[in-house]
Amino acid sequence: MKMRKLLCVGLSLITGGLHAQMNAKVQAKLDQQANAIEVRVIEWRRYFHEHPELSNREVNTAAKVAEHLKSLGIEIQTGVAKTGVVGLLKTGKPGPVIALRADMDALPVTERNSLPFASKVKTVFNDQETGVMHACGHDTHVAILMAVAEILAKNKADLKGTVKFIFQPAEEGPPKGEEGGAGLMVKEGVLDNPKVDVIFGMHIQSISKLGTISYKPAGMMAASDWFTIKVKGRQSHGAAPWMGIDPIVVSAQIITGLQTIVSRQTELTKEAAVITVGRIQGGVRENIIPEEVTMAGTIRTLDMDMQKIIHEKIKLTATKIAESAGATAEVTIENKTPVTYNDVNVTEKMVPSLQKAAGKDNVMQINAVTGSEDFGFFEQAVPGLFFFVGAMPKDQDPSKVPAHHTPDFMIDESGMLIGLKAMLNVTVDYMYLNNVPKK
Amino acid sequence: MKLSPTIVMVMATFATFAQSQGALQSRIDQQAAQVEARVIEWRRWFHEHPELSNREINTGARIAEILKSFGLQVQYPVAKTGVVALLKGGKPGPVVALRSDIDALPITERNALPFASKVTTTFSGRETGVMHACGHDAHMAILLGVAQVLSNMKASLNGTVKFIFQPAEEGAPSGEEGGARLMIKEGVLENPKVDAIFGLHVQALVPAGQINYKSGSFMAAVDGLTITVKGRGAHGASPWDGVDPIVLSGQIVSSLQTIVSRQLDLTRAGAVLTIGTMHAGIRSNIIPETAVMEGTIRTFDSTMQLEMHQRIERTAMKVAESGGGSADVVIHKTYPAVVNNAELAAWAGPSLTRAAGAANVRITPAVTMAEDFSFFQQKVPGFFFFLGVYPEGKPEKPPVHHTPDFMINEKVLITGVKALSTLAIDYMESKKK
Repeated sequence: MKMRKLLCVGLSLITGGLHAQMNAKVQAKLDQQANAIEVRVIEWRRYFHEHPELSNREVNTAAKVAEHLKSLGIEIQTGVAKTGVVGLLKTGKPGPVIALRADMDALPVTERNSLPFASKVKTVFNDQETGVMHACGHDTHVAILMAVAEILAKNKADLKGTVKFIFQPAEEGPPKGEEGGAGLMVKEGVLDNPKVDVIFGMHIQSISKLGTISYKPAGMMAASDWFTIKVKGRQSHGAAPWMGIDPIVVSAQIITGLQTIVSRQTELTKEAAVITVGRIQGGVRENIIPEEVTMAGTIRTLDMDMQKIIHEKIKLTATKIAESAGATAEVTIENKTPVTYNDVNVTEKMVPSLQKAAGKDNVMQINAVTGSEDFGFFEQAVPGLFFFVGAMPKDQDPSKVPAHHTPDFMIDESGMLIGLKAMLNVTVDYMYLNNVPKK
Repeated sequence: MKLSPTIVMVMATFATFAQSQGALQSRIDQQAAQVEARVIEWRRWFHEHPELSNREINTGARIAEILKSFGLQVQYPVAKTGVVALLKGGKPGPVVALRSDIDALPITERNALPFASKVTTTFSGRETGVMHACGHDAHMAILLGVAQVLSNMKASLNGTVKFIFQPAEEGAPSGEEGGARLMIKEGVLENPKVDAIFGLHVQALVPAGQINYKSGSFMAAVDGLTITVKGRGAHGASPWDGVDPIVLSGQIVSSLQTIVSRQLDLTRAGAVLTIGTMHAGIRSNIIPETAVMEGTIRTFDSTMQLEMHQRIERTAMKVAESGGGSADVVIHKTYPAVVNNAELAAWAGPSLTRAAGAANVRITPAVTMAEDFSFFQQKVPGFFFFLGVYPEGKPEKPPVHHTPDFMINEKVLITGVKALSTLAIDYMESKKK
């Protein structure tokens, strides 16, 4: 008994040692190749930046990606989930199937930067003339993943298992009435044939210090659900409220009531939660009490149980408060984006890989963010890790960084190299870690 | 224009009537003037010897003694400590009741009057002064003055006058019956059966000598309200483990206001819903199990009163449920609205004008205070009015009723004597058999 226990400890020590050892030679080579390809990554990124395309319209972007993968001898599939491209790199040796994902879409934002490669693309979005801009950095994601594909393809002989490159459309959400994004990719079987064991993804962050990588185990980016509450009263003259049921006053009470779900009813030590009513519409004229009011909002949660409970409480709060004044409330909740939930084991295993890319002191565990990412759809199906790569321009005053999704959004291109190395490291390290004979 | 003989005749009759009314009023005024000094003396004695509701023992005895001295038939005690006296006029006619309330309040007087109250007692377990801080001392003195005036005019009265000195208008001590309701239960409106009832209340905020009244709903119905919000206790640091009855109570208090602001037809009558107490919890870091709030509901219309009650229940219960709690709503009907009989009110106007002078009689909006005079009005036609007693030499905002500085103007008590005497005599005259 005693002996066997000791043996186990010994084995696990060797395994840990194997990780570092087996990767050392490959590691040096990959780092070198990453350094070498940086110039081209920047070139690709600038091309994509100058030619941004909206969600589910990434036709040219996809063609460019497909052409590149083909040139590397990678088996490709195009038109996945509308405009997505999936590439499969088979090493011919047994090992895990690792998926790497980059999102490709740009935003209806008119660029205000004076870069030589600034976007001049214009389009009509929701009946409005607008510029199109990579204002969330997906251009860097595509460029980085293209470089990862090239380096891995070149070093196939050193690798094990299979790598699936997922170039995903419509992360920002498909146009009204269309399907799209990670949800649709999963639906179309992107995680099958071959079945994906683990998925990795990253997001460039203009608001995080250049050279850093940040991550969080478990809920890292919030689930985003949309709700609509239709409060039905009874119309009357504004001078005689007693003749009707005022849905505006009732709505105000509901808005206040909803806040108490977060403040009084949700276990905030487990995870944060946000309920925002972002839109409210009721009435057409000052002196008419309208028939109904519609309000809509977003719910941000970081835990699936809490998400379910909060949805139920929103329904209870709205319907009961409406009834308290003789009105009714119709609550619909649309599950939009699931929580980006980093598998705790995978995250723990991969932290050293991130540290190799950015330096030990530059990798930090952060608090959850209430923004959301549709990478969560992949992580709902398979274990995964999503992390942030800092790319705040060097001379930028951190207090005045232009936020993502704004016309002045800008990144420091030198941050891409760390993203590239991190993606390479997690992929190759995972292959070696999981190639240890299971005995 | 020629005058037809009929019109001339009517005018002549009217002139005679007016003349006789004028003569009658002069007699009343004369009698009232004679009794004024005693009225003030009585009021000061009552003021110095205040007694709480249902404890008006000395007050009742004093009233009975004075009434007996006028030769009236006196019944004492009625409804615990009340006094009822009967004055039968020389001629047949209706029975008219005149009512005064007699109780004082658990308030420590702060006035430096020579006859200020020094009485103390224990009320609800607390040491307190006792004070006539609502002017019932003035009501008693006025009604005694009226009793003397009418006794002096006994032979010419066309009917019977019933003087009702009622205990516990402010409300009987908890667990006891009392007030107008108990008087009615004990038959004060029977033997002989009362045809109409009149009453007044002094008002410190109304100019001295002015009479205010209104036909229909004049003073509010008052109902008590207790809402017990039941949550689930938890540590103050982890509200998600419980259901917070304090936050729910906050939402309920706000939502209740929308019943008045959004749901009741305020053109029909005003309405008030006041939460006056709210108690929950024993320590800052404990979310309690329950929260209890109490309030008062003021309405003027029985339909609105019912609607208000139903909506309070709905609002409190549903809002509590919206946060996973529950609410128990108990509404205690307390006093109905003081509703002045329209016919009596129309008729009373001219009499009051004669007694107080045209410039001093005003028709006013309803007030949200309540009075248990309404119980009498539920049984017989009744008329209730306010007599302004704005104190002399007082700042712009005189101390309001039910406060330690409450004060009245004694000089206008005689107006009350004249007004009630005139109403009684005119009523008997108008209904004489």
